[in-house]
Amino acid sequence: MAKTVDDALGIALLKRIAAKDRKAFEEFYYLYAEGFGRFLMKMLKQQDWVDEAVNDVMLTIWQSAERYDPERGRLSTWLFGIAHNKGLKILERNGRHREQSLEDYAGEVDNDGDDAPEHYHAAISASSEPERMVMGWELGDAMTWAFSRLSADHLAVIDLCFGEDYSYQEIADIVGCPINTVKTRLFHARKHLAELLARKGFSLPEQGKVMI
Amino acid sequence: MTENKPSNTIATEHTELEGLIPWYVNGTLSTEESAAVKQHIAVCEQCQSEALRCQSLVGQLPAAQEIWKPSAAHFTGILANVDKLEAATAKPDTSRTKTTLGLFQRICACLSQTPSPVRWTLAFETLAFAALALFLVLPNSPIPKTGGVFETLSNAESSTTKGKSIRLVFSEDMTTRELFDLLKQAKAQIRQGPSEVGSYTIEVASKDEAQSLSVLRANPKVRLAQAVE
Ligand SMILES: [Zn+2]
Repeated sequence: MAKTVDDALGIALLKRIAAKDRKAFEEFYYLYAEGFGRFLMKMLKQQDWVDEAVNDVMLTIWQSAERYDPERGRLSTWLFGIAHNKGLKILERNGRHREQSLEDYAGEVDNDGDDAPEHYHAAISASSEPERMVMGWELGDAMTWAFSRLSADHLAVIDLCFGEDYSYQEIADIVGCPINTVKTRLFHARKHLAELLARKGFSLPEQGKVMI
Repeated sequence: MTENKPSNTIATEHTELEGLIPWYVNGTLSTEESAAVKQHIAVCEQCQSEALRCQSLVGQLPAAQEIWKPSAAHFTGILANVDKLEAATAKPDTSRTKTTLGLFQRICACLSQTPSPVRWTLAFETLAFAALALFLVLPNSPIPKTGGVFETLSNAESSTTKGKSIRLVFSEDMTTRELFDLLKQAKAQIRQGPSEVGSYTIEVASKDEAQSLSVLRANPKVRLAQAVE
């Protein structure tokens, strides 16, 4: 989002919003809400919830515009942090977050080390699959299905890293946890994703050449 | 590939660097980190596969099923809520004490659920929100001594935090605003209170304990500030 929008413009708007300028508030909305709305849509998956979450983010901005400190990070990081928080509240209120996360939290406590990638495939083949393999699915279909099954926490780190290109420090700021937790959480999120894909008979291709 | 490193060096590197691979792929590592990962990947097959899996994930990431777009109607709704907010903060009616305490309670509850390295984003907005609410609506009224105002804060989450608890008793003329300012200065969050005798349990990060205690004790309206186990 704000990667394509100059932070200076947003910061100028925030100053005017702090002075209760509604025109600036409106400009800010049209400039930024689509970006964090897209992130919230992936997190909440329901238009009406995203409407509500974006509303909540905007109200926070109206009340706290002066609290953004450019020294502490990019504007988009601040906005995504607020959005993530509002999104979680809506999930919690609707009983989604806890329920979905329980199964995923089990392995997340340990800090890197033991759970190295070689266990990746062992874990996949060991998992008993209640779903049957669906014939005729493309990897993309399986991916969409798998994403719909990920917990909000796992989905957020995957999306923030691979969809929004945030650094680990920024993700830590957005989701509000230590860097090591972000790394571990992303590892487990990817592992869970791979397990889900495997249930549908897919795996992410490893052939090819590292392009970077 | 370019040099022959002893395998134990590679193993050490591997432990340090494998966690960085996703960010190597999204291109947000520092120049030094990125160079180190690049060099390691050249000699570590496992990390090479990791990098490839991450890369293919980037290409396969599903877009949101539906796209959310800003709209004039939605923004009008937001403005209506802004009006409500403004009206609520301007209204000098009798319900304000209750409303503000509810708000303060919610803010504290929210902070109490925050993982110990305080989220600056969350802290920002909640503090600002609290500041607005308390400074504008309730500038200097004394804190009612009704029991259980902050009771919901002592929930299960507090057992997972690693901070230090401090018991705090302050004089009766301490206002909400002063309490709020003091807690901010002392980098403390309310965990529980007030008790029957009007004491609060607050929490500070372990590293700040000594500093927080001296800030608290230096305040003339604090009668007791004592670390508890
Ligand atoms: Zn390696």
